Amino acid sequence: MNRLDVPPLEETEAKDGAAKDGAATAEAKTEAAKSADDGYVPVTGRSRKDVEHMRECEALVSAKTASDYEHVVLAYGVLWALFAAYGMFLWRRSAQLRQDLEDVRRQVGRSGS
Amino acid sequence: MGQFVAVCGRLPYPCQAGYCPSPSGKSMDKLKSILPYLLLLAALCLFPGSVRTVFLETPIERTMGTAFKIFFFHVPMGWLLMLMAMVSGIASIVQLRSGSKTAAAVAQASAEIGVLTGAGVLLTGPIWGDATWGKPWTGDARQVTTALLWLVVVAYLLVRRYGAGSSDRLAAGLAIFGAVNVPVIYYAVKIWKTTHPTTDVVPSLPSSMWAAFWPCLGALLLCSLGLMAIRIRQLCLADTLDELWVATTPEGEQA
Repeated sequence: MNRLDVPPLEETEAKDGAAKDGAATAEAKTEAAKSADDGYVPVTGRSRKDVEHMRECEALVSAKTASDYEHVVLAYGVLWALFAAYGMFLWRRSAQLRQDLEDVRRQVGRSGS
Repeated sequence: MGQFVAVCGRLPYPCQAGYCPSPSGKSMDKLKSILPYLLLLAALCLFPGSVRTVFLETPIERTMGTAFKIFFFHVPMGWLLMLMAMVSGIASIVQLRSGSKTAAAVAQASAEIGVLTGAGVLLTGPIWGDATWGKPWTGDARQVTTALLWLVVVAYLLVRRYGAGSSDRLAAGLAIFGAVNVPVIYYAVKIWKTTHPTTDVVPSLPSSMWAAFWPCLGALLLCSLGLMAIRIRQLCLADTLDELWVATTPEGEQA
């Protein structure tokens, strides 16, 4: 999936058109007049399409960031797991060598006596 | 008994009282034995700072986003793989020319660290590729040559581990072949058209990114050198113990 499949802003702007913008603004003004009594203040001067487009972009960025974090955590986890595994291997090998040393000591004691 | 004392004197641990000759360089031996742990300690001190710098102080790269943070450990792992392959190759040449067991131990230990860092670069690379290219493996020249080097180093270790008595020379040849592959990896991005950036891109990074990169490289290098030093000591000790075992076993029991 291409995470950056954002619809171009020009496209949506073209669809909106100036006439639509004008109609939307007029509608908002009428609504504002209607609801002035109950204290409701509608947002004016912003196209719904623009806001939706912005939200869409934000969602894409957010998804990309979340996916990036997952990748970064996975990469760092793999890295440290590898070093930890090798450290464990060295530790086990060291214990085995100490055991071998003890065996040799016993062998020396046996051949000495 | 003389042979036993000669072998016993090379052991890093004090052995049977009365047998061990007091080595003149006792302090040197002590330094040699604590050096790996000092290196690991230094790496341990650097790691938290480097991770903090990478995640909290380095700006997010504009085109690749947060996934670029993988760069700070992926690239040093690649460099370490190449360094270890070179060390292994050079030590193998010394081993072939002089028959030195220490050189053989250095070659094997560096090859093991090479496999470790190689696995790191070959695993973190596709993770980063998946995040930025949308594909974990594009089969470009740098990926393929790096995987080839890793396989050569693995083959070297397998021959060392499971080969017959004289296979050490064959293994050394493999290590030298691996070292020859290192420049191929470096120049792969210049010779062939690859998804990886060219060698000019990394040096052109802003100073804020270099400030995070060096501690990461330092921490990984110190950690690798510490582990390598421990492994070299282990391999030398194993050799000495083998000799000691042979020297102390009565001839009739050896068969």
